[in-house]
Amino acid sequence: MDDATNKAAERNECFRQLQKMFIGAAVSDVSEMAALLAAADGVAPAGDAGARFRKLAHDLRGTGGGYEFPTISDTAANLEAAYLTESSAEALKQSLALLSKAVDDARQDLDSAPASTVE
Amino acid sequence: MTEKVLLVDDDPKLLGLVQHHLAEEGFETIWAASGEEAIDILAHEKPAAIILDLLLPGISGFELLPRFESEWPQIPVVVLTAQGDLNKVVSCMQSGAVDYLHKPFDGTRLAISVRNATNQGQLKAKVESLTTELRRGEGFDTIIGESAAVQKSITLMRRAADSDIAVLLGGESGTGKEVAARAIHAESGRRTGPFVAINCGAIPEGLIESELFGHEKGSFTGAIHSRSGCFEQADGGTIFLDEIGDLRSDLQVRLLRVLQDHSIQRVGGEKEIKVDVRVVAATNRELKSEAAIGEFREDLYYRLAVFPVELPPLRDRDTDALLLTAAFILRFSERHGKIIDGLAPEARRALQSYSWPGNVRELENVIERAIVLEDGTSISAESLPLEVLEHARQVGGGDIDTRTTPASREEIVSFEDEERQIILRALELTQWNVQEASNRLGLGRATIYRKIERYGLKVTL
Repeated sequence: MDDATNKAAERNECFRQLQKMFIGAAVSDVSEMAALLAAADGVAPAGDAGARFRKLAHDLRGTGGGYEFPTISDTAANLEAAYLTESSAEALKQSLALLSKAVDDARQDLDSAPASTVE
Repeated sequence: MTEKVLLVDDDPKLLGLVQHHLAEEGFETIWAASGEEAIDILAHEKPAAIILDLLLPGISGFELLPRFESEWPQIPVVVLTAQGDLNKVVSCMQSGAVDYLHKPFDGTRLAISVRNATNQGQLKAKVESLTTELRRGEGFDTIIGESAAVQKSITLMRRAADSDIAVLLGGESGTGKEVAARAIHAESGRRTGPFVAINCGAIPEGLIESELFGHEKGSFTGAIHSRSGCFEQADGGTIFLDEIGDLRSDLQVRLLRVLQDHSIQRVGGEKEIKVDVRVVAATNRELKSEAAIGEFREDLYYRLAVFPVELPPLRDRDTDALLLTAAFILRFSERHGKIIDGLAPEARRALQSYSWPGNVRELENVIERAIVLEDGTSISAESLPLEVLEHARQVGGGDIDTRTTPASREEIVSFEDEERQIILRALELTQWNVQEASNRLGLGRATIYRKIERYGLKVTL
């Protein structure tokens, strides 16, 4: 392999590691949102809990696409919009489930994809 | 050296992504999780660019933008946010952001945007540095003179410069009123704006109104295009109205209205055009007396003479004529390609004793003429105009060599000593920055280096 190819492979592998780290953080964020929703006891989280819920959705919306997971960005955007339009706890739960699935699918895709060869 | 980019975003997940894309462009990313943290970092780091999120805990990105613009104007800011509202984009750009990216963003687009921003920042810094360089030698440093009379005028003008107050410069013809007006502008808050000078006495009567206020197309024969006047051209800066005493009485009324309303109407126009202009006027006439007897509008006089400053005639400026002579010899010998760096004793005595009715302008002309005529390495009496020599002979009792010097000029310093002092002073004031010293003296760098060698000047920092 020439230098340029080697460098590109190294860069791809580096990005793959970043994607893994992102997915790890996204799994954790989704869990936190689920906990916030559960703690709100049948209504949408409010006050500090609500702000935190919105912030987690907002950040996943902003970063998912950058890590090449557009579905995470889209589903997180839907969740943030649902929160901002004062949707019911049930609607938020459904939106969060879609986000959770997007994160899970992304993790599985990442795990099944072959790693780049770096000499 | 690796250029640093400051990422201001509270989402740690973004850091790795931004680092990854910017590393490819050779940038090192430093991270601030809040506006407060960014301000702390900027106190000791100078990144090449800032990437700013709008939704931040504490101080928001919207609040940070104007602060960055005022405190660190040379660092370009790229806004990166998931808020995609067009009004917000416009508002960010108006607050000084150079680019705006939506999250989720494309890494290549981010890298290009940051590279463009840093290039723009470097250009901005370069322009500012060149502008500062150009502005050197425009302020009060350009007024050469150590006499109490001129120093008093400079002190007054310095006080007036900072405000927008109207200044009326008085003094005989040739005392340097335009140089003084330019210095006031250069040291005022309007220094980045235009300086527009107009000689009210030198413009033909039929044109002065249009020159001052502009005209609309077809407003008079020959007005084939609309044209802005001096007031519009000076918007945001200073207008210098020289020989204001010569302004026609009907135009005095119009000028008074401009000063009162801060707006003008072009000749043949109906629209009021707002102008933000500082007025510095000058006259060599006794305008106050003329106003008192109705030869100049009294109300206009008091509008113009809010801060009157009198520039002294050269004959009242002690030994300033010699300092000016030294500066003019340096300037003109370089301009005319002559190696002249001295003044013969007779020429020196003649220049000292002459009364200079035409003031600094006359002295400047006399020295330039002498430089052109002179074949030797110092200015001899023969190169001076007859009236200067005649006057010296009369004052000196018929013999220029045996003339008794006036009491105030008893201490005769050699021309070389004075030249040496002028150059040394300029170098000390500029901390031996030869380029800056040469700019301030209006000389080439090579001349300064030659003089440093000739006089054996040593760095005294």
